[in-house]
Amino acid sequence: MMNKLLLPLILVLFFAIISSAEWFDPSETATDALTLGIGAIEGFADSAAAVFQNPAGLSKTKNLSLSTFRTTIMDDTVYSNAAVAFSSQWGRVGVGVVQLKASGIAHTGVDQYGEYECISEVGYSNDIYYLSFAPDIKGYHIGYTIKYLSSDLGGLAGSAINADIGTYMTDFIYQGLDISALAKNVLTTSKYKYADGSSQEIPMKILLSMEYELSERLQLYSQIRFIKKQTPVNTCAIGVKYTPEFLPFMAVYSGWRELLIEDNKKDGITCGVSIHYSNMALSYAFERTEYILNNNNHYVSFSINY
Amino acid sequence: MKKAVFSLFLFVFCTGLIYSMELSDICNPNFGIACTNSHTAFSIDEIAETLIGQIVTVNSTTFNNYLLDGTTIIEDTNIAPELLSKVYNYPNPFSIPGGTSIGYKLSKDMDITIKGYNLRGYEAFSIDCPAGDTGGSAGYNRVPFNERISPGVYVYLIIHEGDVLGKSKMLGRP
Repeated sequence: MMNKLLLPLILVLFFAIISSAEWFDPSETATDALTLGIGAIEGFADSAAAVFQNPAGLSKTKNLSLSTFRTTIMDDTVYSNAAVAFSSQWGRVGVGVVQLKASGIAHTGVDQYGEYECISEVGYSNDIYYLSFAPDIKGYHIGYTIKYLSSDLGGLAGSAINADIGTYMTDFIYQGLDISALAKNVLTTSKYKYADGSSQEIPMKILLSMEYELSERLQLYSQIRFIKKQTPVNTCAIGVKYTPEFLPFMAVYSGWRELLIEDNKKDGITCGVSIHYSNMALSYAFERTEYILNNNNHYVSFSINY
Repeated sequence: MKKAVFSLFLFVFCTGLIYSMELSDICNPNFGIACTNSHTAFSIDEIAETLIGQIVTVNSTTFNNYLLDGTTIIEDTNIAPELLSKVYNYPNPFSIPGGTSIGYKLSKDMDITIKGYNLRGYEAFSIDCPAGDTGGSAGYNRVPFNERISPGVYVYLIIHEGDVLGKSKMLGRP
């Protein structure tokens, strides 16, 4: 049964070919603060944020779950997302949206002296709308997501449809070892199409993540991300989460991750803290980037599980 | 008639002197008061006397790394390294295969680095412009940009010796 679940992921991994001119995926930045804090290792969200990470993770949510996340990068680029997940008689259903917005982009011309001038200002938006479903199958967790991608490049509209497939395994081989496997953007023939006739590839990615519960208060995380391009690339991440005995409602965590920026591998350290109270969780994460005017990025997310 | 010929001679002579002068040889930092080179010393007033009756208009501009502001010639080291215009790229938005050009005006020749960041805050490209070359020259610069980047928005900074002189955004389309 396990092999049957993994087979579709392996097949799409080997048959997908992605070339250059890729679409910028706003969900790659982070989808909730806890995830970013442990090194942006996706797949272990226990709230509605699973819609963005691995739809199979919706099986960990309760009757109703809400999550929201927001950050501002480089002073004027706003990332935000919101998701809701609920139970139905066939399984769990999740709906979410990720938005990336940047404003104040100059639409330029040339003045009488041959110098460049701003004629007007345009905006940029890059949104993804998610619809996820995780059927109730005893002993197994699998999930599917259909995504509608929409963007506005300064007046040039574009859109696409794609899908994610994920599975989640608890106590895999060892007690306390959980595995999350996700094939992201599996419709490899689907391209981002713009109103002017141009198009962009949507890179398919395979994310294999591991959570190992070393003790009740200490969890270790790792992830390998395969990006299928003309020259295949993979990136790694590791993280750790600790819940102090004297503050059982709080968790501190940190991580290291690799990123692929314009075909160059870079890395970064992340850290954060979460506070749990009843069915609510408030998380904060910090990341240092390379932007020299303000290289401190702060991420805040909030979730409720009923 | 003699007076007119003499005036013309003086004008040509002094103009020749000014243009043949190697300004970098000037050792007196108070250049606005006296100009010297290794052979000759003469004052601005002396030059000015020869130009009486001539229409001389010197707006604030740069010449061989010296700022001429109409009354004084200020030594290069006294000119602050700064942008004299806003930074824009043209065209913007632009088609990535076609490229764009980044334009800005510098107060003097200086080393410039243009760094571009993607919307995650990570460096996506970097262009070095040595002093005196395209992008590092006094006056208006147009730096061709043909980097192979993914479509989207990039924030770019004009940097001189670690100081950010200007900032703008470019929007690349597929």
